[in-house]
Amino acid sequence: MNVSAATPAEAAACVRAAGEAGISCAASKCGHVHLDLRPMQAVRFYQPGDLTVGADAGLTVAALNALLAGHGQFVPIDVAEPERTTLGAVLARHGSGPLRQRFGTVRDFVLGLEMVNDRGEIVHCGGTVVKNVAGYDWMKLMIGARGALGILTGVNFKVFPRPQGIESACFRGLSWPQVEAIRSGLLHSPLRPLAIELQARGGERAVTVTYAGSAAVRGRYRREMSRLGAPEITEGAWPAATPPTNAVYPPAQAVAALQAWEERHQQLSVTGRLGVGAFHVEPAPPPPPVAPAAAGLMRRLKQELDPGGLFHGEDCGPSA
Amino acid sequence: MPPLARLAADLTAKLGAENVLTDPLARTLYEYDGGVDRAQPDLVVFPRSRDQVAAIVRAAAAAGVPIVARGAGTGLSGGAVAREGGVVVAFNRMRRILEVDVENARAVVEPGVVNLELSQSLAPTGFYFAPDPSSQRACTLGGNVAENSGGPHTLLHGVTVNHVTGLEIVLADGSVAQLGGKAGEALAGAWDLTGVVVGSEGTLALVTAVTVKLTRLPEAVGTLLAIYDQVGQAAETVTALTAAGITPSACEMMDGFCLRAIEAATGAGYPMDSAAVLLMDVEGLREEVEEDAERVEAICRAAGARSVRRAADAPERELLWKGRKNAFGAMGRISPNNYVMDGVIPRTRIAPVLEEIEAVGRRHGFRIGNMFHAGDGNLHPLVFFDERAGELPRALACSHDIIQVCVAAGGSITGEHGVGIEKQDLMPLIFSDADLAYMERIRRAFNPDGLLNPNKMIPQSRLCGEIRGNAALYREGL
Repeated sequence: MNVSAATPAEAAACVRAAGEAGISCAASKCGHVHLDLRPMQAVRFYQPGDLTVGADAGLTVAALNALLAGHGQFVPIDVAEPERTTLGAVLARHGSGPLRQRFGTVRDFVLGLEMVNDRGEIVHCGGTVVKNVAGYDWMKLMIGARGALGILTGVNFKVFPRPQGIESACFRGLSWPQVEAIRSGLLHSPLRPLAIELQARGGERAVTVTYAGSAAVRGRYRREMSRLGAPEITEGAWPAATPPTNAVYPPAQAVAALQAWEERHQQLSVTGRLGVGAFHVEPAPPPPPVAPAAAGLMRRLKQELDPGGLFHGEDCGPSA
Repeated sequence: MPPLARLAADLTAKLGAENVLTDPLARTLYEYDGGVDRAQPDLVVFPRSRDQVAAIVRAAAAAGVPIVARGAGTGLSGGAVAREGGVVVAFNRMRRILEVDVENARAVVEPGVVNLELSQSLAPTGFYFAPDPSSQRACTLGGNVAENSGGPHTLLHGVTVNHVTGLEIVLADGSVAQLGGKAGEALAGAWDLTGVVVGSEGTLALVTAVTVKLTRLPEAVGTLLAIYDQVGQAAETVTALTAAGITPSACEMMDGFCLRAIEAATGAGYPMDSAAVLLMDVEGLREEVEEDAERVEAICRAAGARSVRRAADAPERELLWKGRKNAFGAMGRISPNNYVMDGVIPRTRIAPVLEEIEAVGRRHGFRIGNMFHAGDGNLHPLVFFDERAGELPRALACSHDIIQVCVAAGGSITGEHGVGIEKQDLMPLIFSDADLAYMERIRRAFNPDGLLNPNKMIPQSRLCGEIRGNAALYREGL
């Protein structure tokens, strides 16, 4: 059953109705009730001078960044289809893109969250300012929970000045030890790249370092890059979004793990954040097991916050 | 034997008498933190290991006795104050750095490690721990995690939760859980339990180890002091920096009133005749710092700064910052007591809010000083009063009105000090009944019997199952 909601109150009413009927509800196509929040696209506030913005969860990433571009600002969210991907979906899946290296994931710049809980109540976490420690930070729990605990209806972000003078240095034809040498070399340097991306396919490996700044700063980066190898420099190249992360490692163990996986499977395709240790890998490695005590806590939270099992979350696949 | 006496005997047997305090006079040393609230605990224990912490929690839980974790006791919101009595678990003797893993930019530390000591011991590696609360010479990592501490340089680097990737915790039943780890992010479907425990003010779990993210020391830092004849010009500078897309690594404002006391105490080179100064850091590559420092100076002058000084070298940098870092200690020159407040507003509202705060102070009969993180709108108004003249209740009333001003301006009731006891009754200013009830459900999931730091953060009327101990609560007036 598809129902669309144009306001948080409508979403809440829908959740209450589903709850009373004892059927599941989700903002994706996984619930018995598919709650379509795309009509909810309002920008609730935008304070360029305070670097803060608040919007409905149905607003798309592209629409938000189009608004912010007018003030030379942006949110560092990378998705493959920004015109189709809503803010709610980004939060629920906790995606990570190339800009993660410099800006962190959405977890690091969400200031506040609005959600419909299992009782059909609209609840809030955080606020609208960049520093705030009032109350539990439960929005951290919701980010990446894939809808298992509620329906996200609104989000407040810290925004950033859009980097000017972007350039990238691409190192090709690398062996695994050379990939690791670049990672470690950058770690120990004072450089602060926007992105450090690894691409590996069919034995071909490349690392692309993206940075930004004035001509003097870019000149400095070029000198440092030439110490790490012989890269090809491309001006103005904003890093492209990549398929979702399905493998994470401590950064210093990533290369060894990928190399071992490649030796097992011969055919390996990898794309992702070399500096962070988060990649999309095909074939996908098995996800690490959740530690038993942590799994127990997750169960207790689910039991406390959704005892009726109203929210199935997004375990059956992605949608906008 | 009454439960408390039995618990004391049990813990003495398990931890050794030198790690258990029962003597009433000794326990009074642990009845307060850095704030205005006090309550004597029934017992104070000093575990040396995670297993000891687990044993303490199991024993206290079985006896139905509250458990209050304590770091260095520098907190300002009453987080470590045992307002319902019970056992204070002091982590001072769990202060080892367990692992430093530079290649992964991680360290694993026990909660009693002192914030600044962590960064100092890391210095040879070229890395440090970025969150730098003003109390960093004394405050501990466990406390930083509990309050999600900030500090001047969190403007660029973020707060504690942005620098913690894993926790080892002891839950309310004494069981141990490992959350997160060294990886920089989790896969979707793995819940960010670490993120929820950070900032939970000791009400969800006791932290026995922290996996922190290390930050590379910058190649260069530029420190500037801009001097203004009008507070509004300093505030306008903050807005102009944001509009220009510049993010200093720190941007602190101090008003003239405080500056005179600070300069008398520290000789940092601050002016004695200004209305306000901005103390700013820019950091990054040499090339970036040169450019940013020039742009910052130009923006300050355009906003009306009567002079802008740039520290010429590291000793001068340290001297300028020495004044700020020792500022709170210098406040004793102004009055016998001061109440350091913590509120947040949108940084675009600094000038009008400071005027409103001054008006509130006048209404209550107090002079208000301001030294704060202007760069992110995190205000620290200081209410100067004399407790011996019975002024504490009036000072607290003044502070409540100041927080109302912050909330009305679109801000929050606390930027970094936490809610604790201090702001517990102010939570309804920013959260609805449904919001608070939801937080209570989260607490119940972790802490079903409500024994971990009871009667903190969430207003009392929301809490079910109040725990009453034999606390002696010291709080006049309000």
